[in-house]
Amino acid sequence: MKLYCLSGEPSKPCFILKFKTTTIMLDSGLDMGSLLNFLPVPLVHSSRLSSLKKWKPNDYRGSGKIENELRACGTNVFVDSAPEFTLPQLDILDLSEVDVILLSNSYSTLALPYVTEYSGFKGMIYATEPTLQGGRQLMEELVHYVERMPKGSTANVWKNADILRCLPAPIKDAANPLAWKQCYSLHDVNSSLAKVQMVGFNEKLTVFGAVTVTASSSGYCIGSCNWSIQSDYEKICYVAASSTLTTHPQPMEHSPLRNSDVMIMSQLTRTPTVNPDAMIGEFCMTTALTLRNGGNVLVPCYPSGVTYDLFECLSVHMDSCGLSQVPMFFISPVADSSLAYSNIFAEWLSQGKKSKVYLPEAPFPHAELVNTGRLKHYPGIHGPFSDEFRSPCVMFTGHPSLRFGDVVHFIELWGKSSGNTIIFTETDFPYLYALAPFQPLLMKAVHCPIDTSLNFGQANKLIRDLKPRHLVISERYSHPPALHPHRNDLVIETDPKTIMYKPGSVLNLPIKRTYERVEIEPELAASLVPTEVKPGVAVAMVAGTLVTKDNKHVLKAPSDPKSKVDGLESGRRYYVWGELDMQEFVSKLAQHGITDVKVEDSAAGHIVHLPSDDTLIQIEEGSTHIICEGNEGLRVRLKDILLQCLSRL
Amino acid sequence: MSTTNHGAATLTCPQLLIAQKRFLHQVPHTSSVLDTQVYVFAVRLMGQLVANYDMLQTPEEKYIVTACVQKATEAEKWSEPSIRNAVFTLLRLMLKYKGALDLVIKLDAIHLAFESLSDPSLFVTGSAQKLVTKLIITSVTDHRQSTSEIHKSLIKQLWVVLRSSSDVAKKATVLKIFQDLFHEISNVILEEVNSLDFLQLLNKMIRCDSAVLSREAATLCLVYKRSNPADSSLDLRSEVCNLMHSGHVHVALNLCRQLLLREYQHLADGWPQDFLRQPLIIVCGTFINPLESGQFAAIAKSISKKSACLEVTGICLGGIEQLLQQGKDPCSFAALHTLLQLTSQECQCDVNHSQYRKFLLRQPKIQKAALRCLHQYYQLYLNDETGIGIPDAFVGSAQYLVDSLGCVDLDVTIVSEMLKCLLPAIKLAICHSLLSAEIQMWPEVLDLLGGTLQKRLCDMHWETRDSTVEFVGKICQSCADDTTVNMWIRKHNLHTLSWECVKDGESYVRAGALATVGHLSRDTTIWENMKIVKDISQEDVVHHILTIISTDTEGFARRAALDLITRWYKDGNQLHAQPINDVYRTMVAATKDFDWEVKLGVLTFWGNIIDQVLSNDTLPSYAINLETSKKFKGVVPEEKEFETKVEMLCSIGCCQALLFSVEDYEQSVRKKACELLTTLKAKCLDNGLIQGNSRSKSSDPLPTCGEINMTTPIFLDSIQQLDLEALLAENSKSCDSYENNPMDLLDDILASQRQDEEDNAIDCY
Repeated sequence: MKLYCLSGEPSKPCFILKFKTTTIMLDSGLDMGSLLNFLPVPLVHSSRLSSLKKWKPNDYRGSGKIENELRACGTNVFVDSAPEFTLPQLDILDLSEVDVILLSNSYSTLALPYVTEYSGFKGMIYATEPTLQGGRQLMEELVHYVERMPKGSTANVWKNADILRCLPAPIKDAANPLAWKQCYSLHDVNSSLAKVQMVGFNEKLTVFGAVTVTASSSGYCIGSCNWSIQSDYEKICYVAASSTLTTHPQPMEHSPLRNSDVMIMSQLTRTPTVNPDAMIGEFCMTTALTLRNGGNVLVPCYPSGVTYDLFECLSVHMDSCGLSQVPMFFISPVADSSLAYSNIFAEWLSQGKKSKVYLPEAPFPHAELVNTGRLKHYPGIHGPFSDEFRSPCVMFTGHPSLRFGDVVHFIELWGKSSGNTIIFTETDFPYLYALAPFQPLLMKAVHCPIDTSLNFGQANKLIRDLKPRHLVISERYSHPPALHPHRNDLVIETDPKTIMYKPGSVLNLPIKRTYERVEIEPELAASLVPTEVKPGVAVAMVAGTLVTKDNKHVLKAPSDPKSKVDGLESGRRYYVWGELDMQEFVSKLAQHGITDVKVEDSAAGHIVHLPSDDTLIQIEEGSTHIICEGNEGLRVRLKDILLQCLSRL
Repeated sequence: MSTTNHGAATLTCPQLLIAQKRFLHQVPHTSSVLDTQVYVFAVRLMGQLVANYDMLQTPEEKYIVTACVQKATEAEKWSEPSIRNAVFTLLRLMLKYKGALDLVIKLDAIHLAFESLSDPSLFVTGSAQKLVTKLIITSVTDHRQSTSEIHKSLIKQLWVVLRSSSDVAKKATVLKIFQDLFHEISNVILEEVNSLDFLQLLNKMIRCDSAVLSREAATLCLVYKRSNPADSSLDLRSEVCNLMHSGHVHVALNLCRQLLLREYQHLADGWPQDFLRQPLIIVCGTFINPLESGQFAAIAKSISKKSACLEVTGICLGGIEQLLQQGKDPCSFAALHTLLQLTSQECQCDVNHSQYRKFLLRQPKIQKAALRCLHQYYQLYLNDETGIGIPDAFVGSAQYLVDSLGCVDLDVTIVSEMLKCLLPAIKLAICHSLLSAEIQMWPEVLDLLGGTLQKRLCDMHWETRDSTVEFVGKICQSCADDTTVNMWIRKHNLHTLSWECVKDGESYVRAGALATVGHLSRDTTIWENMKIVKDISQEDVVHHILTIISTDTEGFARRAALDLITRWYKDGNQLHAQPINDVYRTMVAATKDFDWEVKLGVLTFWGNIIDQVLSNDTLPSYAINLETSKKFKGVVPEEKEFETKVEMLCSIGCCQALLFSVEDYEQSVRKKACELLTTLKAKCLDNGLIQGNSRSKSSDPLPTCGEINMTTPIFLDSIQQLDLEALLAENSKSCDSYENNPMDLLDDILASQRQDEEDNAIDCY
C-alpha cells in the first residue's frame, strides 16, 4: 500500500492512495497562496495601481524583458500579470491510472479541473451534493473574477531562477513558480464536475469490488465528510477538515472512523492559538464599533461556509446593539445560489437547523434577513446594487485574497477613510501580505480568523478516541508553528506508529494483507460434507475453480467433475487427523496379532517398541516414523493399524 | 383563599385583641379542616401576639396556646416545616413570661426542639436552636426550685450530642448554641462542662472533614477565648500554627479570618494577617522568610492539589479584602498583582513558571476575589491622606487590567469587576499626576484602554456593554475636569459611542447610556464635541430622548430618559432654544404611561417645573419662548403675576396632567399628584385665586389627560372641587389594609373554612 502526498500545504490536501489494485485520489485542494504575489485586478481602472513603479533588479543583466512584469508597492514587489495558482504535484504519477477521486468538502475540490481535464482521467469522482454545489460555486466565482478583467499578457520572465533570486521577500521565496498555472475555464469546471457522482453519508460504494468507500459527516461545512476505505480485512480512514464545534453542519461522526489500520489526518486549523467563538465575538464587536462610528465594514469572504455563521451572529448582535437598520450586502456572482442552496440542504445540517424545517422555517436566518431586506445580495456592483447601496453598511464580498473580485473595488473606495474597517475572517491568506498592494491604507484592518476545523487539542483527543493502528500526518503537525516555537501543545502527539509525510513524499504504509475473502458457489457449498473437528469448527474437503472478477473471488464447482484440479484427483480422498490414543493403538496391534509391545514416552511423543519384530515406531506430533529394517509388509500393516486409530476426513 | 401574603397581624386595640382570640380559639376546634397555611398563620399570629402581650395570664388564654401547640405537634401538621418554625418561634417568644417554662416542659417542646436541631429546613433548625438557647438562659435566670436545674440537664444533653452524635448537622447546630450561650452564661457552661474536655473536643472537631463543623468549632474557640481570656490552655496563635502543621491550612486561615472580625480583633495583635498573607506569598513565589520556612512548607504541601490551592487562596483573598475594608494594608500590593497575572491567560511574563499557575489560570472565583482586593487597595490609596504614595506595581496593575480587559472571551462579571477597579485606578493616576505624557507607560495604558472600551461598548454581551457605558459615565462624572482624561474621552470617541448606546437593542444598556449622557452633558467640551462629531444638534438629542420616553418598549429605558430630561430641566442649562413644546407634549403623553414609575418620574418633572415657575421672580430660561411668557415680562400688573404663572402651567399641560394623575390606578402616583396639587392649591389660596371655604358644587368630571387648552378658570375650579386633604390621606394609607384591620381577613378565613364544611357534597361528575 502506497500513499503519494501531492500537496505542499496540509490545509489544501491532495493524496493518492494505492491499495488493493485500486488507485484512489483523496481530495484535490488548490493552494492559492501564490495569488498574493500578483497585483490586484481592479474592477474599474485604478490609477493608483496602474501608476505603481515598474521594478527590476539593479544588477539584472539577463536577456528576458522584465520591465513590464514587476511593480513595486512600498517594499513589496508584485507580478503584473494574470493570477496563477500552485497545483498539487500531479506529475508524480499518471492521472489516467486514478480510479476514483474522493472529495471531502467544497474547499478541497478547487484543483479538480486540473486533475480531470486533459489528463486522461477516466475514473469516478465521489462527493456529497453540497460539496459538489459548494465546489461549483467556489470555482464559478473564481473563474468569474479572473475572467471578468482579463490581463492582456502573461509574465514568465520573472520566474527565471536568476531573477527570482534577486527579488525581495516574500516573492523570492515562492516555491517553483514555473509550475504555477493560470485559472481554468468555466467549460473545464462544468466538464470536470459533470463526472462527479453524488453520494450520501454512510452510503457504501464499492470501487471495482476491491474496496468499499463510505463518507461520514465531518462537521466542518455543509456536506463535508471524512472517508473510510475498507476492504474485507483492512480499513483506512481519511480525516479531512473536521470540526467538533457546534455550528451549522451536521455534527462529526466518530464511529465510522474507529479502529482503522491507517488514519490519514489533514486540514487541521491554521489558527491554533485562537478560539473561533472568541473571534466571532471580536468580529461582531469590531463591526458594531465601526458602524456606531459611522464607518463601513468590509468582509472579504468566500460565498459559503463560515459566511453563513457570520450572517447569523452578526445580525443578532446588530439587533442587540440597536443597529438593525444598517444593511448587510453580500456581493458575489454566486450569492443567489449560495443563499438558496444552503436553505434547501436541511438534511445535511445540524439538528437544530434541521428541526426548523418542520416548523416550517428556513434553517438559516439569512432567508429571513433577505426577506426583510436586511441582507441584500447581488451578483456584482453594477446594476441594481448601485440603487440600493447606502452607507454605513456591512459588505461581504470576495475574493479573500484581495487580488480580484469586488472586494478590490471596495478597498479602493473605502481605504482612504480611517472610519472604515476591513475584517479578515478567512484563514487562507496572511492578511498583512494580502493588504500589501493597497498600502498606504487608512482603513482599519482587523484580523479575526475563524477556522472551525480541529485544533491540536481536539485532534489529539480524537486520535485517542479513534485508536488507529497507524497515523499519517504532515510533518508540519509534529512541531510547533513557526510563530509559536515554544507552544509544545500545538503539535500532534506522535509515537513510533506515526508516519509523517512531506510534500511530494511517497509512503509505504505498513499494512500486511493476510487474508482475502472467497465466496463459494451455492451448489458447491451444498456438496460439502463438513466434519466437526472440535465444537463449533467443522472442516470439509473442497475442490473447485477459483474465478476472480472485479476483485471478487468466487469458488465454483469444476465444470468437469472428473478432471483433475491442481494435480489432485477430484474423487474422494481421505485425510486423517486427530491425536493418537496409545491405548487404542496397542489394543489394535493386539487384535492384529502383535502382542509384544512396549510403549515409552519420549520428549516429542511416544516410542513403541516391537521387540519380536525388531521394529520401532516413533510417534510425534505431526509425524510418525516406522523403523522396520526394510520389512515393507510389516510397515504397511502397522501404518494401516495406526491410521485406523485416527479420525478420518 | 391564600393568607401567606398578608403575614401575621399585630393588634393592640382591645376589640381587635378579642377578635384575634376568638379566631385563635376556634382554630384548634376546626384544625382538622383547616388548610395548613391557615394553621401556620394562626400560630404566627399567636407568636405576634405573644411578642407584645402575655397570653398566659388567664386559664382561657393558656388553653388557647396549649391547644394550638398541641394540635400543631400532631404528626400531620408537624411534618410541615412552617408549622415547626412557627411553633418554636412562638415558644421562644413566650419564654419571657412567667410560667412559660413550665408550659414548654409540659408540651414536651424540649424533646421536639432537640429533634429539630438537624432539621432539613434551615429555618426550623435556626428556630429550634434559638429556642434551646433561650430555654437554657431562662432556666439559669429562673430562680424557682422546679425549673432552676433544667439548664444543667439541657447542657448535659448538648454535651452528649457533641461528644457522641454522628449527625454532623446536629453537632454544628449545638456548636452554634454553645456560641450563643458563651456570650451570656459562660461561667454556667463551664460549671457543667470541663473546660479542658471542652477544648479537646473542639480541637478534634476543628480537624474533622466537615467544613461546617470545623468552621463552627473554630468560631466557638474564639467565643470561648473571648469569654475566658485568662485561660492559658487555649493559645489561639499556637492553635493556628498547629492547624497549619497538621495540614488543616484552610481551617487555620478561616480562624485567622474570623479573628479579623471586629468582635474578635482584641484576641490577636496582628498575627492573623501575617498568616493570611503567607499562602499568597507562596503562590506568587515572591518571598520566603527562612525563619518561617517550616510553616511555609506546611502550607505549600497542603496546596499542592488544585482544589486545596483554590480554597486556600480564596480564603486568603477574602481575609485580605476584609483587612483592606478596615483600612489596613495586609500584604504586598506586588503579591496581589502577581496573583492576578497568574490567573490571566494573556500574561506571558515570569509568572508562567509558577507551579500554581496551572491551578489558578482563568479561575473566575479567584480572579473576582483578587480584583475585589485590588479595588480595595486602590480605594485605600485614594483615601490615603497621609500621602504615602502609591506602590511601584501600581502602573503594572493598571496595565494588567487594561490588557486583560481586551481579552474577548472574558466572563461578564470579571469585566465588570475590572471596570470597577479601573475607576479608582484612573482617579489615583490623576491624583498623583501620572497621566502626563512624561510618565512612562501611562499614555500607552490609556490608549489601550480607550481602544478596549470602544470594543466593550459594542460587546457581544449586553451586560458588558452596560457596565462599560456606566464606567464611561462615572469617569466623566468624576474625572472629566482633568484635561488628559477629557481629551482621552474625546480622542477615543467614548462620548459618541456612549451616545450610540442610547440606541442599543437592550433596554438596560439604553438606560445606562442615558445616565452616562447625563454625565457627559455636564462637561461642555465633551458635549459640544460629541454633537460636532455626530453632526447632531441639541434639538436632535432632545428629540431622540423624547422618542424613547414615548415609544421605548421597556419602562426601564423610559424612566432613564425621563430622569435625564428632568435632570436637564433641573440644572436649567441644557435646553436653551430646545423644542420646549415637544418636551411638554411628551410629558403630558407620558402621564398615561403604563409603568407607574415612569408616571412618578413625570410628576417629578412637573414638580420641578412648578417649583421653578412659582418660586422665581423671573422666568426660567426654558420658558422664554412660550407665548404665555410674554405676559410675564412686565406686561401684566403685579397682582396678576401669579395668575399668569398658573396660566402658563395650564398652557403647557402641567395642570391637566396633575388632575389626570389624581385618578390614576396606582396609589403612589395618586399620592404624588395630590401632593403637588396641594402645594399648588395652597399657593392659589395664598394668592387669592381660589376661595378657601367656597368649594364649588360643580359635579363636572375631572378633565382627561390630553385635553387641549385647559383654561385657568377650569383648573382653578377643578382644584377647588377636589378635597385634596382627604384624597391625600386616603392615598397615604398603606396598601396592606390588613396590617391595620385584619378583622375582615380573619372572618374571611373562618368563613371560607366553614363554607368548605357545609358545601362538602361531592359531584360525581
